[in-house]
Amino acid sequence: MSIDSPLATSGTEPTSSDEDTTVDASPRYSPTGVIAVGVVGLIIAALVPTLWGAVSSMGWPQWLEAVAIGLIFFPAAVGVYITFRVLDFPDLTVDGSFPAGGAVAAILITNEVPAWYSLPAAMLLGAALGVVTGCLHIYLRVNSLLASIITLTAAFTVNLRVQGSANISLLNSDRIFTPWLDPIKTQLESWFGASGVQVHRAVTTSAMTIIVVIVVVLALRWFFATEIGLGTRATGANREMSQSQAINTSRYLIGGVAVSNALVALSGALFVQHAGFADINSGSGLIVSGLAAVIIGEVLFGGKARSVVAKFIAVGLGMIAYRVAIALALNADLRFPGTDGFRLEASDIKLATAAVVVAMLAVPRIRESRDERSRRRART
Amino acid sequence: MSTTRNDTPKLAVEKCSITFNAGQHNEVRALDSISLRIARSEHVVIVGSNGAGKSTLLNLVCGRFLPDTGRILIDGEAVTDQAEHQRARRIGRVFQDPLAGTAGTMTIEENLALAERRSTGRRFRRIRRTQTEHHREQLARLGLGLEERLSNQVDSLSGGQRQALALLMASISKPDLLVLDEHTAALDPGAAERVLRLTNELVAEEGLTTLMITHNMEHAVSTGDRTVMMHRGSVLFDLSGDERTKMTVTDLVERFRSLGGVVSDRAALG
Repeated sequence: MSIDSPLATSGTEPTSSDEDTTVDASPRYSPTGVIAVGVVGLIIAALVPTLWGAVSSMGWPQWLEAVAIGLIFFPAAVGVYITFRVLDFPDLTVDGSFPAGGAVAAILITNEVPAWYSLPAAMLLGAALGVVTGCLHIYLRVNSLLASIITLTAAFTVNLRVQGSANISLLNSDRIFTPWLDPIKTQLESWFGASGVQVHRAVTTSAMTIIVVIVVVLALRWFFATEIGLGTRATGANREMSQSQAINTSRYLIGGVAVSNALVALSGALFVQHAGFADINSGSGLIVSGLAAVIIGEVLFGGKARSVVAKFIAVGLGMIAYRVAIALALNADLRFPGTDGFRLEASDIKLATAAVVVAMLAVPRIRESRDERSRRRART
Repeated sequence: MSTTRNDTPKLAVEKCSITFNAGQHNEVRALDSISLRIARSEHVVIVGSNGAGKSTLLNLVCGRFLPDTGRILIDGEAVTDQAEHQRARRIGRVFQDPLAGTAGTMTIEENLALAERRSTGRRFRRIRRTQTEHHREQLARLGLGLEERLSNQVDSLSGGQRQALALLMASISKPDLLVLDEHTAALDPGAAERVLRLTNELVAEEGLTTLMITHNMEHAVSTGDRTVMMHRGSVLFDLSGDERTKMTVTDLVERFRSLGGVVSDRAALG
């Protein structure tokens, strides 16, 4: 990179933005802009009744369930943020460390180990997978994506060995949520009458998971306020400079990827305890939903966030928003003319998520090329 | 070492050679058994045409490249086999690219806090918050108003400001050796002049042993107290004292030509 203009190096714009492309395009009244605004407007107008239908058809249990799942995935979203943004190391290992966390938790819990111990144990296996990916990248110079795919493939076997079978049920074992189910159910019934019955599971999970999330956020706040935490951020921000500042970037990168995967495994361990079963394939697509949470969190909550921890919280909230959006989409009743109703199935979510991530990633790129075009116009 | 501490050179490069792409058709002997000794508090300026091996020498000193033969000593201690990050504890380095020496997504204060721990190592220990006043004073010395922008991201600074900050970071924990890799070459003339003046001030105040590369023949004789001309991976001539004081840019170029060097337009024009 060469700096030819004296005033170069004004910072690049952060990807999180407060405006939408369509809004951006309109002031110039270019024909494409008008058409784009029109098309987007029509789509939104067409979706409003559907969305409204979805919102109104969702009862308390579904809303609360979406929030509970979002909270469970909060640490995973932060983990993805740490690799993707802080370390600038796109890492797909998370798809393997999520079921790994689940497998460890499931096997410990079905063997009557106290449920809380399953969380740190799950994090250890997640961290180990992160270390493997990091070492493949650092010592064998394997590209980060390829390194993580290799680990992910190997992790499948490890997870299956840990778990013993592709599925195990935890319904008859003591999970971290079970001791609180009855007291919370009683309490809810005393407040709201019998309607408390359907929501007590989601409420219990949310309450317990919030505690875990608070501990995680406090721990990360401490870590990133230490010299080593600062060194970790520097490693991601500028590896060359970090080495010249006496940072062993290899070790810091491996450590950072380990922390990230430990967080994802923690989510996995929480998830199996909420769902009541562990499934070897549960991690598939986690990276994309993690990215969706990162992007949604940055756009909705993190625009002005300065500190790393504020960004972690924004991304975690982004995950909750994402889970709520999924619940809405699953409840939406899309009636296209000529069909007798079209409902999104749970299996359609991945395509939808991928589309959302692509759209969000495209926004800064589109804006860039449009700015480039207008600069070119201005010159001629 | 039999010599007394004060006679020990701060930096000694002993007969170091580096060959890139050895055995291939594009083999390059970047450094050819080069030796260089720099005394305590000496400010050495290295000049030479493109491909003379200046940058390779700096990368060798900093540990990014390892020599095929020869050894490197800092303060009498062999560091030849130390990795870059290990050596960096004793070396402050400023790169040519103003983006390279600072972390753009971190604040000015965080960058300084990072540099402060270069020589001591890092632990699971809170970053000292009491340093703010100290940081302000340090930044005020740059005279760029950065002391009022401690919590700004470094991304928002101009190239010259970033390079000044990188310079401060490199010299912040009194390194055994300050290494400057054409650190003004990418800046506009005004900023380059400012950064060079700051360099001279910092080096003089702290008595830093400095190894500086430049393309600029004017700087080669006006800055520092010793000029080393490199050519084809070794030292062509080495000027200091009176001989150097009398030297003008024209003399320097003339001498370089007479010894078989080819001066690029860029170097001659400064």
